[in-house]
Amino acid sequence: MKRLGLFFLVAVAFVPRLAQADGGIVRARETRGPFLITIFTPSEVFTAAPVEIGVMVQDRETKQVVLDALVKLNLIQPNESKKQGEIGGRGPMTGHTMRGDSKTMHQPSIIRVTRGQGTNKLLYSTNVVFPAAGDWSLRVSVRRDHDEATVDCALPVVIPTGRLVDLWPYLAVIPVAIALFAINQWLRRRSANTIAIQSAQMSSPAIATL
Amino acid sequence: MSPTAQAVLTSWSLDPKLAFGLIVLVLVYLRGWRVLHRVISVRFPVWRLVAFLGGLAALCIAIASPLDAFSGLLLSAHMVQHFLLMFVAPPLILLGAPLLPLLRGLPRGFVHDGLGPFLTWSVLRRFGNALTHPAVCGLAMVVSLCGWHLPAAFDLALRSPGLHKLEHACFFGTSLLFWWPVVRPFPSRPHWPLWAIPLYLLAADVVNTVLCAILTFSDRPLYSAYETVPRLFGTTVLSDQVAAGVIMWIPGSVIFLVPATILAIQYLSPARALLSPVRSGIPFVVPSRRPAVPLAASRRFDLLTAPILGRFFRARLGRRAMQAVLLLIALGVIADGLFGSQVSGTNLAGVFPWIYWRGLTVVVLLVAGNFFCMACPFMLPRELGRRLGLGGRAWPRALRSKWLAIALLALFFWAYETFDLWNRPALTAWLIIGYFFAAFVLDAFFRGASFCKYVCPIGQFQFVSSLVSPLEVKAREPAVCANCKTHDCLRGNDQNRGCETDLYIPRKAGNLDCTFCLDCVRACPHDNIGLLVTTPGADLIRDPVRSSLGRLSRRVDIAALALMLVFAAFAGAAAMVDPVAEWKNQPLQWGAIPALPFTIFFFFTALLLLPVIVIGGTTLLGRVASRVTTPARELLCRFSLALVPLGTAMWAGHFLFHLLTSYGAAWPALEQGADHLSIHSLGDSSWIILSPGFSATTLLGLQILLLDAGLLLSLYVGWRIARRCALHARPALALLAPWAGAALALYATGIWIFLQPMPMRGMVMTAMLR
Repeated sequence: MKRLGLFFLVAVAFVPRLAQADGGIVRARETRGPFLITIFTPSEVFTAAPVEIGVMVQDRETKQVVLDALVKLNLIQPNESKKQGEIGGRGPMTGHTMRGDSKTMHQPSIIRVTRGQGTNKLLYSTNVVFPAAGDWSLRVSVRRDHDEATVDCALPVVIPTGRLVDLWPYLAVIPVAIALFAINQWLRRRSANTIAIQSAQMSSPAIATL
Repeated sequence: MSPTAQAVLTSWSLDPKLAFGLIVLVLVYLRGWRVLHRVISVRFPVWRLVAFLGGLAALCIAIASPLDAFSGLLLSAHMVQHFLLMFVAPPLILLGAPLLPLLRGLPRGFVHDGLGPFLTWSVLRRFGNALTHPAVCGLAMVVSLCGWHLPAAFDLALRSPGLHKLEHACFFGTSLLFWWPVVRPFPSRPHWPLWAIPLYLLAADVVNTVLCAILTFSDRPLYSAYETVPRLFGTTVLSDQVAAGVIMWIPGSVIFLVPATILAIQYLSPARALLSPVRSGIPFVVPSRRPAVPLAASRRFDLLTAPILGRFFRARLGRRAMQAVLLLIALGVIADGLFGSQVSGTNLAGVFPWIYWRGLTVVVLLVAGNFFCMACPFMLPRELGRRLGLGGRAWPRALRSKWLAIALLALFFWAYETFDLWNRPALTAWLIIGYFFAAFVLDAFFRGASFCKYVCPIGQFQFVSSLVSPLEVKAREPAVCANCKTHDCLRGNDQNRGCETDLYIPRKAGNLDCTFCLDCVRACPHDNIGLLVTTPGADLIRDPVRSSLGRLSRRVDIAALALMLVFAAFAGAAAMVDPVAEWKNQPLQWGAIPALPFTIFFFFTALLLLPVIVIGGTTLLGRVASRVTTPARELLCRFSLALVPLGTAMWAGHFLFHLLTSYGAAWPALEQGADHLSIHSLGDSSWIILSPGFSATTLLGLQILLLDAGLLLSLYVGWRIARRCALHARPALALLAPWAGAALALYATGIWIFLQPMPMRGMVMTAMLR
């Protein structure tokens, strides 16, 4: 049974990583109770940066999008006791300022997600900053009236390879601008030389006599 | 409206960088089109403007509307998005004939000196000529269209946001090329005769038809990505695919066939020769650097002539109103700082000065000018002191320099770190009280604006940073000043006082020592002084004799002030990041060194020793390498000032971080402050703060872009100074290189600082939860 569960988690985690919606891939899609629940995350989830997690809830029978459900995320770090308390559903900026201020933050154990946060307003979404790398488990609980359902999936979180790589367009501005300026100066000097040669030729005695 | 429809229609998103780029593009086009419409309205009628704006609107709808949000869930939405990107936006933009309006809309000097050499470069012209050949354009579009619609490529793009953007950029770029031979935007020259263009369009339609037929008639889903996503609005994968194919097919064919028909009719029309003068189109000519008629200063944008703002700034009450508002805020900050909660992040004395005032001041400096000095509340006690008439003495000659202000600034930077001013509301309140007191006492005893000019550390920061501001107080028509005998701008008259910092407008250059008080504007009997637009940083290149200041190349005190502010920008930001804070605290934890001497040593090194060694050393090295004869002191002064753009950019990046990450703190702090003062009408303070609408990467990108701009402007100023000191390019490069290396090192330090986690140390976080 345990192996089956592990297989399920692995299967859920790696098989349906295909589609993209609101900047993410489908991490899991399950029919639970009266709901069809789809979980979207970025294709790669990094630590120390805000990660958008989106959930779409649909009616199992009609496939109509359910917009009035109560959706909660529960993030669990495996091989340890539950560490939900270490992360919070916060604004995107908090990833940048997380160190040094964690004591002052009020941190919920379960994150409630709403529809206002993401671009696609059909998705319940939030931004989460993962404090550590590892295979996290994500549990999504959906409740509407008396109906309730839960979907689990694995979420591998990795350490980013380097923030500079993401920022290359900003950093490339300097060498590109310097190169363009160098070409500009070369062209202007060349043009000035050409004009000088032409005017020298025009004022030469041979031409002057003409 | 149903909740679902509402959710769909509100799913908009526009990348701030892209939005900024589009706004700039529209403004530049409008500026150029306005001039061209006036001069050659036949070529640039109103419909061209409408077409251009319509094209950009289509682009926005494609990339920012719900179409983009749903492109990952519905192939049909994705196809509408591609349709707009390929068949609507590009031809409309080209119909706006954007080349000339955009060139005309940019500053003349930049077009002539910056772009001109490229536009007339034969290599680029040949490349452009080859690129806009119909064969190349058609092939590029077909390859892009077919290539990206291959299932593997399409699915790959859906998985990666970066590739998805690249796909869209390919579609848009190749479509601009494709429509180029069809629209032939003025002043381009056609490669093919007119009769060939309908055939060109028909060939493209055939390719599109084949692609759409495959999509429409396929009996299985072609793009596996759409098989795994939730189905919306009762569609199935196949029905969605069929809809997508039809969308691309029918309207796509119409888009190809309509212009083909129009061009065919145009070709067959007897009046063709009259309608199509493009073959003899005017070749592109780089506009001259100066217009035929010199642009008078009065033709430059003058903020004082703006309809509402101009009148407001000119009115004496306008300035008083701004000062009164800031005075009220200062009083609130003092009251809350002294009597309120001593948690800095929730106290007005922690929030207003250290988050809002600093951030907003630097933004205003960068986009306008020294408006804080204009609204300075410390001027009001000054006025009071002056009315008491205690003195009227002249400021001591020995102190008529910036050295006292430099010492006070160094003291402030040190005190800020040592006493954690950002985290001590009471100390902040006392600092403001001290400031009011100093302004009152000094101006009660000494005449003029001695406090502003020689003492005020905030003023010195404003003066130096405003050297890169785009506005300056200047004479509109220099000729009017030449004939002026009364010099009221300096001396004042019965109704108005003259410049209190002794700046004589005809010889005033740049914003140094200018408090934007506009006394000169009100005193001028000829109404010849305005707040004119200037090129940011231009005053760092020139070295004229400036009124009341002399040549900046001979003012070591001003150079030292600039240098200290530049290095303080980096030292102040570095002191806030974790690695530096840990490194700085290590000796203190060992207990080997007492805290006070250590922080003094840190700031002495960062603000005084390091600037002198680095900038002095590199400048002298450059002087030796280039063998220029310019005195070393002059070079040191000029190259120190050339770093001001970089320093200001660093201040801006640092302060904007605090402002943007804590922008929601003002109101709850105000509510709490009012509550402490027993004013309950504002209600209970709620610290639920909305998260900002941009990501951490966007903020980091903005910070780096600011540093980029600062470094590039500094390097440009440095290059122009070097060219003035050296006769040829090679010695100029030798002179510049070591100093430029130091500037690059500062830039790299700034990038490193921005990449570090920056704890807010007592500030309010953006997403504190209830």
